[in-house]
Amino acid sequence: MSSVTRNLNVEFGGGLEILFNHQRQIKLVVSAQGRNPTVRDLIKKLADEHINERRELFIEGDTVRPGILVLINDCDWELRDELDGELEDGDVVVFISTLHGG
Amino acid sequence: MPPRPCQLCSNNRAMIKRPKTGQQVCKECFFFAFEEEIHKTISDANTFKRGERVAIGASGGKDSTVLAHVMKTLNERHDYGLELFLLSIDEGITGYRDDSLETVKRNKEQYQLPLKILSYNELYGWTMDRIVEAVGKKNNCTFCGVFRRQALDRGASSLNISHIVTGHNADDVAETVLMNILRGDVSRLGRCVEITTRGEDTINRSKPFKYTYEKEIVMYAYFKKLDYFSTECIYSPEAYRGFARTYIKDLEALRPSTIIDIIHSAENIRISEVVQDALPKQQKCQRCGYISSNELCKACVLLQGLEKGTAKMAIGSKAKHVSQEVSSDTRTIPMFKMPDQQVRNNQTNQTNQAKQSV
Amino acid sequence: MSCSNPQSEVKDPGADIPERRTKPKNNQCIKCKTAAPVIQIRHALYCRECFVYATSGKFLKWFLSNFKPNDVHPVFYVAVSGGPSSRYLLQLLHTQMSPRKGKGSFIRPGSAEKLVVIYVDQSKVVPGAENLRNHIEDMVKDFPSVEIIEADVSESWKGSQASISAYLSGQPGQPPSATASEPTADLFDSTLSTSSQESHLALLTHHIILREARKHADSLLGKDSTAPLFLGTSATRVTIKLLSSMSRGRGWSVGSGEVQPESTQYGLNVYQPLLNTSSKEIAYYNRFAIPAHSQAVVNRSFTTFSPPKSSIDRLTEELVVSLERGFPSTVSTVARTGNKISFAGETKEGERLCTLCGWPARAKANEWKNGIAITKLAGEEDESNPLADMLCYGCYTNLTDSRARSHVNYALPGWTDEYAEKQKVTESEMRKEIEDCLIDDNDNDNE
Repeated sequence: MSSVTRNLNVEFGGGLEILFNHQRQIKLVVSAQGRNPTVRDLIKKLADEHINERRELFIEGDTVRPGILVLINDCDWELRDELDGELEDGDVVVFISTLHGG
Repeated sequence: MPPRPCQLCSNNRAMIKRPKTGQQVCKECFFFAFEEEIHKTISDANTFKRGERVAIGASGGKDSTVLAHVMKTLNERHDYGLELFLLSIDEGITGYRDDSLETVKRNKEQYQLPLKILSYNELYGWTMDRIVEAVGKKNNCTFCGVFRRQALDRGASSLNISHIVTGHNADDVAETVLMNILRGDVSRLGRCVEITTRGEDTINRSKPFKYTYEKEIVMYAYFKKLDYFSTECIYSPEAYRGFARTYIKDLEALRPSTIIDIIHSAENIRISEVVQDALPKQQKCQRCGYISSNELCKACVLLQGLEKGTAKMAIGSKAKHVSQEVSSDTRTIPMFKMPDQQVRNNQTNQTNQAKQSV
Repeated sequence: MSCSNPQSEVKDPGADIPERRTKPKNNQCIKCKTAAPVIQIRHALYCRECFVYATSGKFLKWFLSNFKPNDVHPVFYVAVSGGPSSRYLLQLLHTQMSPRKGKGSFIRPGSAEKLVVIYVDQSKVVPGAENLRNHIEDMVKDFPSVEIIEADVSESWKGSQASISAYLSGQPGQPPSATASEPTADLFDSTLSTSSQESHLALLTHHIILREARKHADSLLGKDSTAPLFLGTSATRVTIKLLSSMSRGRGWSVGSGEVQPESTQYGLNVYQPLLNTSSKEIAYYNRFAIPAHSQAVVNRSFTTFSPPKSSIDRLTEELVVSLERGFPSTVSTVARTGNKISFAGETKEGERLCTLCGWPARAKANEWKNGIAITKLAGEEDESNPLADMLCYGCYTNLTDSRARSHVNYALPGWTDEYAEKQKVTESEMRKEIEDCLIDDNDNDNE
């Protein structure tokens, strides 16, 4: 089984960047064994490797917390299989928190 | 830490911190406060008339067991002059209901109260087990709720009783308030915080535990050594109601007074004029005579659906509340007759208009 | 009963549990039917361009139903926090205030000569919050004529703005009382629960916005003038507010103007154009239509990144966003509920107002609680409690919940004097009317 990788651009909005060392944008590589990497893989990688503290404010189980929107190339992930949506090289994935919006 | 004196009598040692008031009290003062607060709820609202026949909705659970105990106690202590009965509904859920019915039968002996048991099977020809088989686990709560309500009313009527008391406590009322807001159901919002709901052609229902915290009911049962059966329904509850329930529990942990704070909010709300006019008028069901806002009451519609195998279409606000062809072997609900006492009471009582808050 | 599911026969037509989220049937933009859809709102799909266009269209439609097309107002007031909703509101107001071409002919929507932004700086009371003045200046750069009024929450109870008549003294489990002693704390004292502090912040902010707009309108247009004030309350926000208010015992207040789409407060016409717009729509529009350099700023609140169970508002927000995810029509249903309810008390002239929040208050905030709970045995005296009479149930609860400290005198903003005054006037006026019926105490020895 070979490893499949994707180069992704991830952006954070709505204050979520605070959880990720105040970075608004990061580039990273996501991989999976013998299948195409999905949004689920990306979320797990972000939670495991890029959050310093309070990971429960980003992730709940294997999905994002309620109140966090997910866009893939500016399209609502709800229209694209959500967690099971497969990612392509160069995809832009945006996570926006709608909590405390005022 | 030296033992603290009870904040009420200053005499005995405090054993309990009351979630409702935050006070630390002894057992005796807790019993006294618990019982007398319920008495005050009952008497401030002029809930009962002397000589009235009253049915206690008995499920075998903590609320109804404690209710039976307290009603009997207060009836004697304050001389309400009521004739009390236990009324239990058997929904026909194997296993779950059998044990709780045993508790109700024990209550009958303990409190020397007559007991009537009415089953869904007897009344509708369907048990909840069969209903869940037919419609699955998503909408079974709708069936059970509608059927139970009618069953209680019919059971009461058969005993010539026109007043039912149920064990709905403050937590239940707060939860119902929230559910009504989430659903946008303002007509029920005003009525769900009334202590007694009355109407011309319905059986009166009262909630003496309206201001009683669920936790305190458990504490009362524990210290008085009243046994009860845990009545968590085995068929999973509506997911939506689960959200409301968790929210209330979390609020209570944060600020214990929120449960009655919610009730206070709801008591001070009134429906705006426009909505009042839009509410549907009440009428009698063409098939069974029970109160209804359409030609057919909800129970008849649901039963019709079960009988014809179209039950899933009978759910929801868009369901047609219209008679379908019924053959002579399709089961229907027998005619509902209001008890004589209610008719007499209506001539002397002022009916509490449903639209105003208490 | 553990299954408390009373299904009574009569209910609101159309009132039902909001539907679970369903996947749309066809995969087409509902408007242009060509470009790929990127967002689903209720049951309709929109592509990016059509969504942005539909958003402006929705706002224009609302606008024209409240303002005549060719009217030019001297001033529009708008409350801006810097967050996503107010940024969205600013953007849409900007499109209304600029001339635009319609189909064929030139359409000039209703507009104003000047936009006055009211920004309430919360940075001195909320730990970690920043002053956003610079960001807000960026946001309004392109408006033809704009002025920014900045007010600091922490100044509202100091110096010339302070209350002179009374301070509130709180004790845990005891009703608050009046004192003339020097204040020892403010309404954001760290020993007050987070739930209480956030409630105080919302109250003060709301008052400051109204008062600053009123002050400005007085000097620009005259003392009895009226002008529009826009608030960016979204459907999501109003749902949180309604449920949170219910939980605080001030549920009735939401029917009295706080969540109405239009109301009159302080002589201003208050509009809340976004009551039908969810936070999701706002986030998408901001991403699609607003340049990166003038985006919204999310400032810290008392509960930013706190666990859900840290305050009533945070808990409620958690409930609402969770429900919104599984049942998307929740917020619009609840927002509509707010329109159907109102205060059941009498709101007549001279009605007693709560000293702190200014809403109508029932007599003796603690009377209801005492009525349903036994906290002393018969025969004991009721403590006299003059200032408890001056608070509404909700404000009273904020100062006496489990975390309140004893022997604290809270400093109050000056406008509370006005509310306190109204009570005195009512009592003395009443006394005048009944004076000739009053029997001297010495003569009265019956009952």
